[in-house]
Amino acid sequence: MRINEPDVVFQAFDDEVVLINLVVGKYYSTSKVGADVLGMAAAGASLPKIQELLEGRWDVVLDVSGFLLQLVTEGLLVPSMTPDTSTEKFPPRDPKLLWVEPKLDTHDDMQALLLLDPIHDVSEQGWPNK
Amino acid sequence: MAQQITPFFRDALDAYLQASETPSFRKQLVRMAGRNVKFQYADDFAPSQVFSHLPMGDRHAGMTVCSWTGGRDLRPEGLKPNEVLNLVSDRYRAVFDRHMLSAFDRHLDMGLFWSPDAKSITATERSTPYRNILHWWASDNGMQLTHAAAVGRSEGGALLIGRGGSGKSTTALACLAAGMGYASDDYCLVGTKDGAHHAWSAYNTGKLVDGGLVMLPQLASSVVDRDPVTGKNILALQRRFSYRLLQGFPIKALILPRVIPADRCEARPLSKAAALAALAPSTIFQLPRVETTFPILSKLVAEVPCYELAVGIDIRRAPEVVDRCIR
Repeated sequence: MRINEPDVVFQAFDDEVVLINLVVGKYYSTSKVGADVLGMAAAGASLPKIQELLEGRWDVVLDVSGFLLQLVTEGLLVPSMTPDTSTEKFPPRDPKLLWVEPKLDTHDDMQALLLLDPIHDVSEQGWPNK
Repeated sequence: MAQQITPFFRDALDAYLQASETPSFRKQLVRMAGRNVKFQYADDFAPSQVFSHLPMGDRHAGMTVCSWTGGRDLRPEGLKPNEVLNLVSDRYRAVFDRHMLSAFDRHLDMGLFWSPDAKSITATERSTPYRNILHWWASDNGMQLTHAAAVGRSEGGALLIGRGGSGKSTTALACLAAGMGYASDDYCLVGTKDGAHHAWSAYNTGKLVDGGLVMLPQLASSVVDRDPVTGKNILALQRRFSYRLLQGFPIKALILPRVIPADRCEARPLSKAAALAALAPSTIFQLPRVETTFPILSKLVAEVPCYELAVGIDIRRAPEVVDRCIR
């Protein structure tokens, strides 16, 4: 999988990630285990690989398939054939950190701007007609 | 090779040139973020006062903004008031938004602003005019027009960040009233200068709710209008507070105000993710999309200290805490 660029822009800070879906007007944040899952998936890891990598970094590892599905449903991750580079990017940690249930904070307060004023993209040849 | 102007821009420019043949035509040359900007006003919509705090520009090359209303109707047939038309090409940027046209020719460094009539221009547009054009121009010059207030001193200041209604304007105006320097309450330019993150003033206006005026009565005489949509009072600050209006400053802190129902005011560190979530979306979604917006704001958040400011019942306690964040 990969981050759904260019529709989605994102920035990672240490163990936090902020994502903005430019098309639908929603923005998100996740941290700790959530940031790991997002990063691993974006680096090409499958779900079994993600669970395996998490076991090397967190003291307890629970099922993250629901969280991963949420990332896909929100349009933040899309299928991709890029090579899996997750092993190098997410090495084991010693000591491991305490498990925190992954959570995706979702904000749609900006979405109303796009819904109230729908945007029609027009080419230079067609401008100013829709 | 002669530059070919695309037909729609040429038509709009022709309409402006016709409108500009009027006794009310005038020019205003300013220096904004260290660059020349020339505003050419063809009629009664001439918001020159919002830029009057900026140094005078000179006749050297810079951006020209041509502004007019009425005359030949440039609206496409069938465009609804709430529909937005957006154009992005290598050379042009253009938006029809609420029937107002903003267009920018990147080769000519020229912006066009047109409205069907002056009366339909909103109070927000009057107090922070030509935002789209300044946004495109800023992007071409390594800057970002940013939804943030800016207060401090010429040696350094803070951006107050957060979506509308979070308390940025009220906090910024409280800082002004307390004697701090002021560069914006709603939109400012952000970029780098001498390798450091820097904010520059674009407008000298402010907006304040009625309750804020009660707390800050020294600002009451600066009220010039009222926004019927938000109910906020619009202030023109150049007349009474010109000595506190800053051209810009190095950015020392990003501060997210949060109003609390308590009698205290205090700042604490804010996570980078929370700061970016407070800063970026309200800028991105209130201006036409430009690829450089998110990288500029992300870098700013990554490299500048971020705070959350819990602001209690008495806003007048905020300036001292803001000042501590800057030092």
